Amino acid sequence: MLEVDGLKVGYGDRVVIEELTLTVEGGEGVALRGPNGIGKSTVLRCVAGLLAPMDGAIRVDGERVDERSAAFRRAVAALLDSPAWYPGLSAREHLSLVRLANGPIDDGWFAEGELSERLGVDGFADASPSSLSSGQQQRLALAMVLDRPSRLLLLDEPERHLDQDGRALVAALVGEYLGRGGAALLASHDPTVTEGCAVVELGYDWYDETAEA
Amino acid sequence: MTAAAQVGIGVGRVRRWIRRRQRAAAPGSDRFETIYTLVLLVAMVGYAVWAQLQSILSGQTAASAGTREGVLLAAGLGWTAALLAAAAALGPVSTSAPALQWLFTTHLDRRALLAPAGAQVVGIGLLAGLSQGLLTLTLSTAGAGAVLLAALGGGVLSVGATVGVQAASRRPARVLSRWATVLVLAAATVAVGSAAGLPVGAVAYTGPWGWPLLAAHHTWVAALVGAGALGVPIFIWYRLRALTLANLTDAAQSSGAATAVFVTLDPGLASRAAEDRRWRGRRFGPDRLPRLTGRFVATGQDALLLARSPVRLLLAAALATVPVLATGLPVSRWVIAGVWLLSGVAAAASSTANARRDRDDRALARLLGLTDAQLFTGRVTVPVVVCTVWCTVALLAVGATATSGGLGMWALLGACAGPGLAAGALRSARRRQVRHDIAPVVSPAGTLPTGLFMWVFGGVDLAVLGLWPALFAIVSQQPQAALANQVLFSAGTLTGMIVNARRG
Repeated sequence: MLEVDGLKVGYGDRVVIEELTLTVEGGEGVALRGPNGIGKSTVLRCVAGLLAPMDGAIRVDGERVDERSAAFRRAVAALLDSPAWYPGLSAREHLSLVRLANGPIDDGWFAEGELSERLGVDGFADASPSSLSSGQQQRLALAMVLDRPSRLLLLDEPERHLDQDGRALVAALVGEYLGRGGAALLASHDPTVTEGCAVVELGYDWYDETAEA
Repeated sequence: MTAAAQVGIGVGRVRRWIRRRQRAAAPGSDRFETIYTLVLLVAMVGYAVWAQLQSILSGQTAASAGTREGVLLAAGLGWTAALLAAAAALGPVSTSAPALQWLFTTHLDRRALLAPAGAQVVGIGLLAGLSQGLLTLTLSTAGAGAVLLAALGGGVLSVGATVGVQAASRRPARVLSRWATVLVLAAATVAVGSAAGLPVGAVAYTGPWGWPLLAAHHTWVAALVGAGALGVPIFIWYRLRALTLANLTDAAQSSGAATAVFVTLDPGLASRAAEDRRWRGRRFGPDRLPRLTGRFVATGQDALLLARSPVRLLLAAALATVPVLATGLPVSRWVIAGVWLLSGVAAAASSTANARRDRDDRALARLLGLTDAQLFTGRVTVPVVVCTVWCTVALLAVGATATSGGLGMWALLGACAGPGLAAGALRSARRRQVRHDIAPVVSPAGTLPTGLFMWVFGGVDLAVLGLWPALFAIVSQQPQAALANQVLFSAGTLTGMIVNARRG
């Protein structure tokens, strides 16, 4: 599903990641771990097509990453940065919007309202997202990113702002996503969330050299 | 997979769905306010443009003063630079952050999603061209139709080029900003060259800044530019699909900051956002902070920031030519003095970014173990130096066009005026956010936000006071008579700022 081959990436002349190679098959979850600044989020941004690699290749379904392609966008769902909200739409309507824009949705996908109920969005469904707490916003964003059909899920610290129950729920939902044949790439420090995922530790050696340079 | 991606609903249906729900959520009064504002805006702008056109075409404007080629070219270059800078800040093609996150990541047709934004860009190009055309006609009414057509076409072609850059470059904002800087410097060069009597007419052939001027005498230029502009909407439509989400996200962040300025009526937000954006992603070499202690740490920090801002220094230097440009216009000497003052306040902003940050966040003072007053005293030195150099150069240039007063006297007056300008610039930098708790002024045109006006004039007011003798000297063209007073006014205003900072 996802192949990362000899990835080198950075910002300006600063190299953040060098020679990263990994493969994620359908039904498989991979969690990136490492200290702050090591480049976990940068890798996710590259896979999502938001940042061009300096070198190496990233392929999704055998095709080079190009987020301008509708087929790529159909396949990949990502929650990377802080979520943004439409004014004048409630939390429930944001979920409806995602299902509408990504339709038609197969019967085998999460049923309408299922994620809203399980992630507790029902409790604040009529509220404006901007008025919600950080944790509630994260629950809504997770419901939205999972409510749209995809085959590769990219999550950057999905546990942020969540309580322990919320983290366990994220782990369960990622597990269900993998059970549907999807592949997941996460950046996370939380062992609860990454349970069931293979862990890739981003190395220190080249990180130290780069920092000194 | 590609075929599957085509299956689904259309962009139009999603847009209508969002609009319907947003309308349902908004109270009726909101809709009334929107319609009222739009009608008022169209009526006021339409009337202003119509009145200007009538005035121009009836020959009641300054056209009798003749064509001022250098002024028009410099103004055209400056105007095109402003257009590029706006495009760099806003995209130019841009959309909202939630749309980017939740719609642009779906399989919906991206070109259809961006089509309204593309149309807006063409509209902005037309408005920019119209403004340039009206300015050209203000100084020369020859071939009014051709001038307007060339200006409109030039505006559209300019924005078309910015969309081309956005689609082709990974860092369009940087590319467009650099071009804007080049054009500002070119404008300054043309202004100085024109004031010195050098021939600058050939510059009109080099780009949209000069096409309206050329079209006044060569109608084929208007025909050519107009024909070229017709292809721009097709070009933009074609290139919309090439825009990347990374580019659009950058554009959404900066246009979001610009929107916040309008929504909150707080222009300070824009300067803070621009400052953050400017340094984002920059990597610095070894530690170059001067090894100073106490309050002079702040002075060293200011000097380092200035050394790392060569483009700002160049722009400040370019601003010194603006008053010279004004001397070529058929305007009163008071206008020239006002232009000199405002150019000075703008140029001085290159040295006061840290003072602004201190005011926004007092954590730095606490970290350094300094009181606000001590920190401010350390912040005075660099702006005083920058302002003194700027005033000296700018007054030398103005003095060169004056009918009396030796150049040495003008330079000396400029040196004396520097601290006065620095006082105004520092007050400008230390403005807090716009106060919306002050009662607005009710006028026939609607309510005027008092807090916004106080914010806009905060800094300029002190600069007027501190530079009063120099301003009067520009009007009277007698620099030597103003010298002693200028020393007193500069010292007084700067001391006042320091004393005020000590009080908190």
